[in-house]
Amino acid sequence: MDKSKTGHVPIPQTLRLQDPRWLHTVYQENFPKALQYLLRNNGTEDDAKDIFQEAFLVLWQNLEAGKFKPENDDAVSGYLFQVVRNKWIDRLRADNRRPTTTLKEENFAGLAASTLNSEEENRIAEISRRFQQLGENCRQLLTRFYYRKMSMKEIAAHFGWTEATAKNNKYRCLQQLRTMIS
Amino acid sequence: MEPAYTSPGHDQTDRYLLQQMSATEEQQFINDMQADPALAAAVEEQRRVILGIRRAAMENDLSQFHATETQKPATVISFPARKLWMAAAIAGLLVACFWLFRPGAANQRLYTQYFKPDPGLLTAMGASDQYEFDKAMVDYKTGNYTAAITAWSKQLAVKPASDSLLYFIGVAELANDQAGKAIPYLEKTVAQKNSVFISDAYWYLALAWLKEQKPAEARKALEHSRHEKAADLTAALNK
Repeated sequence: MDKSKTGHVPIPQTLRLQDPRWLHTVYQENFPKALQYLLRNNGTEDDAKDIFQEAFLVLWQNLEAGKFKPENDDAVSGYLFQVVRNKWIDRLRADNRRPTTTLKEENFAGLAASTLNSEEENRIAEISRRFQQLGENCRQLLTRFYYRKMSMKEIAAHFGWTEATAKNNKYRCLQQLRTMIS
Repeated sequence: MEPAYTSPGHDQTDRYLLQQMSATEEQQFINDMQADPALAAAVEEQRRVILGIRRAAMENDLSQFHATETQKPATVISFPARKLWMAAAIAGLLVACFWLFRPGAANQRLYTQYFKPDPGLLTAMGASDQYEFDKAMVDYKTGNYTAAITAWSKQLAVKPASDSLLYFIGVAELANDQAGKAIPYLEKTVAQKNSVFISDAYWYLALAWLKEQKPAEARKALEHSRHEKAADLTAALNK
């Protein structure tokens, strides 16, 4: 847990939940540009998919955590493309490959400030990995509640449970996950 | 009734993080956290847990997003290949000129320029219908419009007033190049004045009329759509 110099625990920020429909549109509208960029810079379609999806997760995570607050869709596209470029340059450098076109890096500096710190990112990635190890019912239940934003009543109907059972199972699944990550 | 098996404050923490509290309740909860670092720490950990769960779900959705990604940019062409492409392009130009200026070509051109299928929903209906609806939605998103229409039509027979079904069957018919079949579904959608799909339904209705070579009907539909490109398409139709 992070603590400030005065010893106070920072107050957690609420989550800014993104509409999956909007995210889908962002993906559709921005992938072609990333693909074009990767193809022009020694990449393949598979590289484009990997890099774009990594970048998309960074964008999504920073939106949810409130670390990136875009004013409009253009800002989202610009941010996403910058992350794509950063990640691709890192990959090329790691592989000792060189881009074939000039890559402008002047806008890269401001990006780091608005991204999650690595400790936070690693923690969330670890929780995510452990979550995938939960049983099918737990994953379905928690996904429906925390991601699909379904009510406990709808979830109970889906599984054929009472609402109280659904609530109890949600709590048990969370406890199971907490045990795995503690 | 089964007793609630939850820790005190668990539901409250979720409601705070998921932004489901009233302003007064939220302020009280923030005050509680300020007075109780253990509570603040527990809330912070729960925030990370929710982010982890959502990240896992997002990763699963990314592959679904990619499956529906159909727009491909032009392939990077090497210089020798460009000559061949230019020759082919010149030959094709004559055919294209004839094609573009035939009667009705302008409407078709605008339709092609503006039509992009609705990206679809990840969830839409009540729990009992969820599985069948979602299964058809996967077909829709992967471009198997006929399978989606077949499955949704069966559901529509049971729920004839469902705006989700009417809207998505309409868009799927349009994506399947069946504008004539799409129109009745979209008209039934826009007839439901409280539908969340009403603006988008008017947009696709306009495109369907355009494809049917009825620009006047398309203009009327566009007047009711708040789609971000509705004004552009109206201007293009008025040229």
